[in-house]
Amino acid sequence: MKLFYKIFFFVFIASSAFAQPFSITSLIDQYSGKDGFIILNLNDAGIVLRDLVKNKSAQEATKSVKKITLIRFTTENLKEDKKIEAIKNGKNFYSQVKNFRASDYEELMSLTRGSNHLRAYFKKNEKGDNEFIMTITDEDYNSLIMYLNGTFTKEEILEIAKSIKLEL
Amino acid sequence: MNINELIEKYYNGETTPAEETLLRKYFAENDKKSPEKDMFEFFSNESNMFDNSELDENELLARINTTKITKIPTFWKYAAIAAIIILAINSYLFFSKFTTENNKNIYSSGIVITDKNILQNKEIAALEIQKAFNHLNNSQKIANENLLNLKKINDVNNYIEILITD
Repeated sequence: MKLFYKIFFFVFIASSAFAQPFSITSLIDQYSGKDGFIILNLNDAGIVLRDLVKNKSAQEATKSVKKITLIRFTTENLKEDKKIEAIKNGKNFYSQVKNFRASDYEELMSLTRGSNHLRAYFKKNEKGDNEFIMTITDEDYNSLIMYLNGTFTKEEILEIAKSIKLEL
Repeated sequence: MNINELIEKYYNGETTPAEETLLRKYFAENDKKSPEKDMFEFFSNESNMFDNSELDENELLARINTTKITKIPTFWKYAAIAAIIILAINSYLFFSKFTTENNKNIYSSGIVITDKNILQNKEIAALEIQKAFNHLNNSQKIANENLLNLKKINDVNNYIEILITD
């Protein structure tokens, strides 16, 4: 038993040394190309964001967003024969998103409306390499995680959100 | 006693160790080929080999006493076991990821938009970003409305408190 504890101690210490901070890349690897998943991974977020905002201050704010990563699972547009298999992965992603907690990030918002849960986190890093994470879970295992990286402030993110108009 | 008598005595098993040494010496010096020469030469060689390989008991004990037994410190033993466990776990994770990568082709309808294919998929990307930010904006609006309502309730409470005290 003593030996077991000793080995456990060493495994724990060594694992802690190798412990990785939050990595959205692992989620991309896990769900890339799978049915029902829409993955967006851009190192130049401006290419899309610039066209979406109209007012000047929001235009300026978009310049501060460098990288955007978004993973969304939806059962919309899924063919019936693919639905069962897709939902298996969707369910897994849903629980990953729902249980996601960015412990070393500042929680900006946590809102629940019916089955819809939204959480937003912000982290100010040195050299202005800031991070923003948003998670949304909804019914039918519809879920989303969005990760932004850049020199933005949390106000700038909210400014972009305010300015973006959904034109369906 | 001549050599033939000595050989005969040897075959009868009546020779003394000294006589056998004499026979061995004789055949070693004598160049004439004979079965006895081969036999005694063979015995001589074998006995020499045995003499060379035989180690003195004291010498063996001395060797044992001088051989250093290096003990591996306990810390390193456990560290090595821990390293093996971590290596095994990592190998499993690596190979399971590798298998997942290979299985990717099974899926066809998932969309992956990167810097490489953004120009062809700009509309989808824009729509996804719009939807995500719209969620954030709506939630922010609700949060602000709730804050405003809380403020209003607080103002009403303050007003009632003033009325009561007056």
